Amino acid sequence: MIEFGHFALILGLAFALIQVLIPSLGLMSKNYSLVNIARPVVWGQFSLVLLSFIVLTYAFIVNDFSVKYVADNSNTQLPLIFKISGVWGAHEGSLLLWILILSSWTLFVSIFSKNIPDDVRSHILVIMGLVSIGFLLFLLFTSNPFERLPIIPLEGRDLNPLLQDIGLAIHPPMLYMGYVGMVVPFAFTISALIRGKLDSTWLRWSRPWTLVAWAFLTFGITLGSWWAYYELGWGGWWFWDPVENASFMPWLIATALVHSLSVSEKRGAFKHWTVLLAISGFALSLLGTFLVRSGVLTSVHSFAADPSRGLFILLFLVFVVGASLILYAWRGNLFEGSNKFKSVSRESALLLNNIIMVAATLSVLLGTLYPLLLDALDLGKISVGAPYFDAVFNPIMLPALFLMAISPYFRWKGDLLNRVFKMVTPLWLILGLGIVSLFFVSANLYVSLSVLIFAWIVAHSIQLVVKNIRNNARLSGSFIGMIIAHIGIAVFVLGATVTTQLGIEKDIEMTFNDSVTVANYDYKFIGVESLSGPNYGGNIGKIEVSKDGEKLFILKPEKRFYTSGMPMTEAAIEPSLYQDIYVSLGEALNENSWSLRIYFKPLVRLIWLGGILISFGAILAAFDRRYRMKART
Amino acid sequence: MIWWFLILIIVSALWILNFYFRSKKPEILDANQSNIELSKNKLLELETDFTNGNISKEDFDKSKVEIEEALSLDLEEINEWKNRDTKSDFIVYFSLIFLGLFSLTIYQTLAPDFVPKSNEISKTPTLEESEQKLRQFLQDNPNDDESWRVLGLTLFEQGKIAESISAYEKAYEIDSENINTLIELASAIATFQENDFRGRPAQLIDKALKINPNSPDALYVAGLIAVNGGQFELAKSTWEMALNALPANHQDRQILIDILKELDSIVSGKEIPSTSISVEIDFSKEVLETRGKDFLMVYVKSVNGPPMPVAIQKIKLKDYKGRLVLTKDNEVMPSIPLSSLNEGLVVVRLSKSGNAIRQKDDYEVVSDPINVQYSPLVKFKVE
Repeated sequence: MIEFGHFALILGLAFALIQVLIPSLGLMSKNYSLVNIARPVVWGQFSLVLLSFIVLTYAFIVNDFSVKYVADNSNTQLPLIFKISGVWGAHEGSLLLWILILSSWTLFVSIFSKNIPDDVRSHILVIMGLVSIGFLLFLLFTSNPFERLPIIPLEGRDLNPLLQDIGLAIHPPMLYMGYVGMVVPFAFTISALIRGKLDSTWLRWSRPWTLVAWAFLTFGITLGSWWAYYELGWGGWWFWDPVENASFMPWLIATALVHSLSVSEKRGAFKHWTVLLAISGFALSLLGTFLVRSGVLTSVHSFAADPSRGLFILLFLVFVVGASLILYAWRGNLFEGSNKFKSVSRESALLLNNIIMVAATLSVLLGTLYPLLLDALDLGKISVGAPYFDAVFNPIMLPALFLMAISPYFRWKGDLLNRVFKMVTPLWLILGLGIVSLFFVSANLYVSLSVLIFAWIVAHSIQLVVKNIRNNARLSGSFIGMIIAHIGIAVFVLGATVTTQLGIEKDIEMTFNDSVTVANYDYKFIGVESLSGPNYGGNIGKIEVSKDGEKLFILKPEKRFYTSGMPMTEAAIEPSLYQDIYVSLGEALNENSWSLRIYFKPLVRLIWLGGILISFGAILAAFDRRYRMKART
Repeated sequence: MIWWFLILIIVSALWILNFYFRSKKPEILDANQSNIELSKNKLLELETDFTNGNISKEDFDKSKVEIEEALSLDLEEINEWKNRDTKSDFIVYFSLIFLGLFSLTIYQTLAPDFVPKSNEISKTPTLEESEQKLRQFLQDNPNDDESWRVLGLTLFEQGKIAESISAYEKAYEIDSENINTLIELASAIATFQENDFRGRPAQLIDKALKINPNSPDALYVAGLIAVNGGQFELAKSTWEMALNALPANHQDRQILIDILKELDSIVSGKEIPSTSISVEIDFSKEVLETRGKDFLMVYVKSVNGPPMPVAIQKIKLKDYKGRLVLTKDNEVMPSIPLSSLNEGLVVVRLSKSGNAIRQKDDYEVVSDPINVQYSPLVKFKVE
């Protein structure tokens, strides 16, 4: 059974090769039958990779410890849901999931691109096939999940306890859908460059795919942030960790790409930007894979000790980026004749947005790679964290937040500032008065600023909707999606700033029956009991929370020790839209005395609500009516 | 299995051929048609933008021209597409042959050395089989620390303690942070030192606990070290921590609970109910004549716990009087009394050297699991 899955994966590689070779020959010789073979081959490749994935999942479910990957990441005590999510719990399986998602995207493109000329679609499928070949070779020759053990252990090890959580069971597939989804705009762009036609077909049909990928990426990152908040026991929602940055950089570039595509599609400008952003988006996805999978983040020296995996991705990255840029340079003539626009116009506002997004990406890239570079050159180890990003990234992004609210007011090609000011001045006066009064309410400058940004974006968005309704304009999916996504950003900024600035954190030692007051809530430490789960032991604390003498609820944070011995904190959270009361259990210090972390998190839920709104907006925009219209007569 | 592979290849080839032969004539939508249609849509959208006030009249007119100009650039010379011909048939057949040969060749390269049959997955191999397979595997994969560790365990279970230690040392050399290696290497060295954990074993356990202070196995051995040093209170708190870190249905929970009970009794000085195992061995005349000067070692060990004896008697075979009784007096470590054992294995060994470590010419018989709590009588026949 296992070898059947193994062989299906190898056959999947053979299919990927055929997906590239036969349609390419067909395109060169103008032979329709050969070109048309791309679609059934894509379906075949998807079926084979899916079969292989099902076999590996089956091996997890039936505890087949003859498979090294299963023995290393599962055991008989593991609950079924985590046996299934254990399939992508470590390197080999997560790469198989990556390839399954890549073949799913390819399948979707082959099915849902009926509006695209068949030869153009085959071009795109060839490029996606090339990417598949790279990843299948990587999986089979450096990270084979079907590797067998010479001795079958009676019991497996344990799945990383961090991954034994429903949030982490869903987060990677969602994130990968976004990560891998960036291959679609990349393939559209490269095929357009190869064909020598940066035409309407390319621009119109690559945008909905980019929006869907961006929506998944946003949702995946949001899920990851939510998981980190409740699972790691630090009460944080973003750590500027290199792994997080690896997914955030493609998101920033995808954000720019979504906007750039709208200009290229509607006004025929920004083609340079769109091409480069599509290439960079996919290149950053590959860079993220390299950073996470090569071991370079643990230590550049550990990468040097076993470089096979990292080197493969690095070479693949160099090949993809190098070949794409050579193609871009070779097709330089295609960019001539870009449509003109004035310095005051919607195009200029979106250009500024692109510049800000790219600058922000570069600041994150620098903060992520600089410590690795120093380490590689033996110049010492440094850690680049929140202070750097707060000082560099936030100021770069600040103008974008103001700009995003007013740029939809500008006309395409050219506009007058006076005309725009006339439309928004009454709004600005109301906002100005509101903010001035706010400064008397909150002494915290950042909180006041975040409220201003929130009010700024929401008020402008609502006024824009009202204006369009008054003009009897049709509210398209793209327009409503944009409004919702922009409001999502506003909601996120408000939640992130308020929780960071006004949140309270207490690290304290408490003895049984001790009480402490945090943010007007009284916390009484009742005691700690032993805890035994299906595959872990540990302790469970009891903290009674009351306010003004009235008992409200009891929080039960856990400290778990999994069979691997790894300790895990399960925070107890009393959530609401306005605030979270959050307690995590630390270490036992003396008899009846424990360290505890108590957090008060105002508006923290808005962070994830913002992320959900952005994703929803992107999906609405992707399913706009004009993307469902048939291009053929 | 090869037949399954061939079926998969044939199904795949038929899948592709079906689509290839089904495609009748070129119904290709050319890029020109697509671009003309999209330009029409763009003009409609431009008019909507103009109606909504998103573009001025002057720019609206300019944009219309731009859309028309862009269309003229997008339009290309139409090439005639051809359908299936002999040449393309050859390419497809060739590709399908390639599909089969390529996948079988790659599989040949990547196929594992050992493919267990489905009934073997649930079957436990003998220690000797395991050792042989592991040594074979390690010849090709000398840097696989986990396999070195498992080899160490396999050798330890066979009583080859010195060889076991050197296998563990290899694993330790490759990964000195693997907590299982540290604990098992410590146990192996301690066994070699006649159950003495002082020196390197204690250091290794110390290191293991620094890496993971909540590892139940490391805590268990740390408790043993504390008992050896007479620190019963420390042993108690250490084992309590180990118990706390174990899942609800873990098999070692009961062992720890029993040990903690015994430890409480030792600390409080209460009498421990005595448990004994009587062992009767029927030696053939030939054995008595040829190995009369050998040592007869009879001991009991835990079925699931550490492999070292819980209680042992060692006498000369010639002094054997037909029955040996293992009692509290024969216990090896006070921390693991005979009465703490639920299920045990009785081992009878004849040894020329009398060495604790099993030698090549030693003769050994092991009983089925017995319930020690009922002070059983175990009978052997040695011929």
